[in-house]
Amino acid sequence: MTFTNPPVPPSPAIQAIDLVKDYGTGSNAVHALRGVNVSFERGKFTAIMGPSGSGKSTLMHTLAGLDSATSGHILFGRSDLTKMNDKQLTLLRRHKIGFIFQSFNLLPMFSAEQNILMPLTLAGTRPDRDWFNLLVETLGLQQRLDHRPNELSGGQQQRVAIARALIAKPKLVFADEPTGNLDSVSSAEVLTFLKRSVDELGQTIVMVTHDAVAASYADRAIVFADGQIVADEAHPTAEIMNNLLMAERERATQAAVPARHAR
Amino acid sequence: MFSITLKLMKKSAKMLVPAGIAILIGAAFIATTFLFSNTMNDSLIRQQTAVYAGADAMVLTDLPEHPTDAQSDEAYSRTVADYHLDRIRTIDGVEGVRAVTATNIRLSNGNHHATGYAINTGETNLLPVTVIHGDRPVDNREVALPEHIAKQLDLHVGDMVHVSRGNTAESQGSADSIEARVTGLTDDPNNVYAYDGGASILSEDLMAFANGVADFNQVNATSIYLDLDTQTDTAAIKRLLPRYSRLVNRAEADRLAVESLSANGTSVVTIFLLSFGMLAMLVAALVIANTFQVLVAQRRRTLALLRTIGAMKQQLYVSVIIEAAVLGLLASVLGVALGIGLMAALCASGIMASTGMDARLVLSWQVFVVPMAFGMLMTMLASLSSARSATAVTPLEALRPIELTDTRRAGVVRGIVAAILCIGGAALTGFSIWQMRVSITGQDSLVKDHYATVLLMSIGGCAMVFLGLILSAAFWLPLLMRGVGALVALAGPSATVANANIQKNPRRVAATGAALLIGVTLVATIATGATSAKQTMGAALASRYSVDMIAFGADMTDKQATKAAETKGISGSVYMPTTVMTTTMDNGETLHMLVAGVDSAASLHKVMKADLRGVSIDSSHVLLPQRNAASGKELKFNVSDIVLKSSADGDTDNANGADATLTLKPQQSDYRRISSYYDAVAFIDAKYFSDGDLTATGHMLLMRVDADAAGVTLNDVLTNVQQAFSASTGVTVSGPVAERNMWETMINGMMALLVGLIAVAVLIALVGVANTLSLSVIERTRESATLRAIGMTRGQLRRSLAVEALLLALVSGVAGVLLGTLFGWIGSYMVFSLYGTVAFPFDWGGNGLMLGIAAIAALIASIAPARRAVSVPPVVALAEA
Repeated sequence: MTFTNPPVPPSPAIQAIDLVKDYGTGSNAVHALRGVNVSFERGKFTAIMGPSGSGKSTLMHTLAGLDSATSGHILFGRSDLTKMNDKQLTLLRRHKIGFIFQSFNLLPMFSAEQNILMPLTLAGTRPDRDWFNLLVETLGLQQRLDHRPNELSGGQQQRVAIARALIAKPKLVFADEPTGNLDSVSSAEVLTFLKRSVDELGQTIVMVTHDAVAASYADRAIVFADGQIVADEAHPTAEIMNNLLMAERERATQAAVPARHAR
Repeated sequence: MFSITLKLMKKSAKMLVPAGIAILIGAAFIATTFLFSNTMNDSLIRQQTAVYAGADAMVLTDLPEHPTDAQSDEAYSRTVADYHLDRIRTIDGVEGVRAVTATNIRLSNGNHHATGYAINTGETNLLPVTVIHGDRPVDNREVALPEHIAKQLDLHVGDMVHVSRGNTAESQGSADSIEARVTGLTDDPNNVYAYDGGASILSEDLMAFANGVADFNQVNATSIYLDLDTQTDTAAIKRLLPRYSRLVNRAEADRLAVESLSANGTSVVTIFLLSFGMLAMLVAALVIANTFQVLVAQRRRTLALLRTIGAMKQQLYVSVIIEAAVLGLLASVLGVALGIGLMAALCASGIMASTGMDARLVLSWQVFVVPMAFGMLMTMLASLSSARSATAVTPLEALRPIELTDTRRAGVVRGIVAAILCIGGAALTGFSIWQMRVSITGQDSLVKDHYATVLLMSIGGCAMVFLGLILSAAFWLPLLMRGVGALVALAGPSATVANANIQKNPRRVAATGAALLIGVTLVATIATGATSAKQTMGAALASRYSVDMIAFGADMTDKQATKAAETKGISGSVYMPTTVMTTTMDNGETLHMLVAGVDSAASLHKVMKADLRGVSIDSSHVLLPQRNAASGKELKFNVSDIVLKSSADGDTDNANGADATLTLKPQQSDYRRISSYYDAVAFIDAKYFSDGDLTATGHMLLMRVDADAAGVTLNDVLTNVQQAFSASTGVTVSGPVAERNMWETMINGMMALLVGLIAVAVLIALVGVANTLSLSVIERTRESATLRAIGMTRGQLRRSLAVEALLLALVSGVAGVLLGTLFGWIGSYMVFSLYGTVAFPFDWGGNGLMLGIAAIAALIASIAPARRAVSVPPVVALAEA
């Protein structure tokens, strides 16, 4: 018998340990996260799926440090996000974590180029022009750099947002329903770009989505329901994810229905 | 719809607060204006009628509409005897009667003197002043003094005092006086004699003496006061009255006093103050318009929903107007309350009493109705355009996310009107300046006969330019801010964000900036005008006088002069003996001179601002000016010797001058006026006085003033020098410093008043800045959250708001200062060119202070909105629209 050392898993990009998040108190309390344990690998594209109200958005908010956790830990590299103050979290968001929002959230009074460079402007650091040009080329935005957001299509706006998220070379990028406001063509574009930035540029992306097709672009898909992980799929396809979601819905309906049958 | 409107109002209550404050301030101002004029009227009326004391009836003149000289003479030269007081006293119902006589008297106790006003004694309730200690005079040679005069003369009840005629033109020698006993001290609680500083009460014989007649019955009496009971035989009284007089009862007399006052035009003061109130309201209107614009924009979703479920366009329109009306009403009511509170505090605090006015709070319907009507009207008018845009909301907008920015450009019509105003105004102003310039260089111009028209043209021109600039502010202010902002943006990320935010909504930025521009320009204009006036006046005075300050008098003592010379601020002085002499000119005219003895030319150099090169004081020369100080004509002495005679021809200043004659060689130097009483002031060797050739009839102290170096004000120097000579009544202190001080005090007073009035508008404009900021923050909630999400710290966000506030305030502030300075220069040029070379100062102090205040106010204004902005959690950026 040959002993091979078990492969040491590479340290995760971010890790949640016994994460609990409650809104409100007493009988009106909403338990958005019920002791979630999950870790996300570096250099991988992960999708978090689930029905509305499942807590997937809350998970992302707390992982990103945008919202505080009721209890538990979030380990990002060597730091524990739950122990950081607002200023430290803000600096983290500036340098180490990037965001892509569903409604693009570009600053309307700045041009596309200024929007992309905004995190660096806030930091007061000079941009890496090579990296900037690479991003712009990859995302196909060369012709659009001088335009204001209201002069860009939805797909173009989201691409600008992706460039903004990547300009500071963050360790981790969170995307909240990035294709939610886009038509199918633009969606496909955006998802392709996200995948390319993982495969070619070595980024780590965690995407929240309810679209099974979008989840199929990811390397790994997690299904969330009632504040907990209920499924973890290593090689998601649209079909598998749809089935998983349907199964989850069935289960939820069954849980509600027996009350009727019992009568 | 009304209940919905109220609910919507409650929701946006926070947004409406700054607009409410703006109206509140404006309404309070207007209410205070009316209250102030009411109080002044009331106080003046009471002062007028208080002179009647407790009289029930008095006698007034009853002349025909166009009286002849003889008739007027007879009516106004009546004496006490003409009223037959003894017989009136016997009439049924007459409880008391007092003739009304008055005079000026001089009171002396040893070395202390005082002058004052005096009335004759009579029944206590017919005396307009009250006796607070002791008693009123009853027997002969008795007097009651005002309390402060008694203190000044160190007198108490029972002491003796010398009473003499108070004719101030008389000399200060030992005039006739009567010794009288002080029976009591008087007080003037109703400020009847506020101008004279109270009144003494004289016994009848003293009144006769002070009037220069032998008996009280011969004293000129303007009226009599009667104390009557209800059953008086007025007909009998009337029969005893002299011709051209009538008996008037108290109510009638009060009514007549009131009538004469309102005709006098305290309404002019009211109108003047009200115009500032209108200005304040106009600025408030801009603030309100901004607020409602954002209010409607924020509410588009709700309004669209209302439309989807069945609201009509007109209902939405009315809803906005109602909201404006409610806001205007509430804010105006609070403003009126504030105004009443302020006025009541002012009356109670006794500040008014120190000016001699007894202030009472007087409410009238105008105090309530006018501010409220104006407040509501202004608010409703300002909300009209927003109301219209509320009706432009389509039901579909409820269903999609909307862009809240309003990048509408200003209308073309507005631009054209503004351009016409600017060009027309500039042309008008340019023309009047040219006319002025032409007239200064001595040529013919409109200024000679139509100065008022030219002045009006320049004022009108400037006003037109100003109006045009304000109207077109929507065009150039945002451009200016963009320029400055681009520079500021280099300062860091906060500034970059701030600059971008300002570009977002040019109309709102222009409205806010315009509000501030109005106030700042007006203040800068007045400040510049006042500074120019002071400097021009000062320069003109300095060029007309050669000495800063002169003390001159017959009874000046050496000790007093030394004391005055040591006053802080006096940097040099020369004390010289003087006498009055005359000489005959070449053309036969007599020149009246004040001849002063001085040791050497060097001592003259110390104090005189003139070119005295080559001048030497020795026993063979007399130094004379080149021009006659009184007429300005050149003095020509073609002969080598002139003869100076001491004037013994009735000149009051030279009572004991011996008839001295001097023959000296004239040397002339270009020095200007030293004393205004004589044609010229000449200088000779002091030896003539010390040797006894000439007797000094008085002394003169020439002083050089340098208040700034000593760190005191001109006023202090003047007061201290005057005090050094207070013991000698014959010494006058004059000179350009004294005149300049008087001018500066007056100008400063007027400036303070005007600036204070405009400051209200500036205050409202600053409230407008705070308002704009908070509105922007509300609009930008998502963006602020996004910025926070991608790495903007709270501190950076706060700083960006501070920079935004500073940009808004300082760009319009500096523009206002520059405009105001320009207008001030133009105004000064037009008005003061007639008096001398106009100074074009830049009031660094005043303008700097105003900009500093604007900057600090802007920073304070950004605190609350900043707090609101940083309290938005970044999660909001992720929320669905």
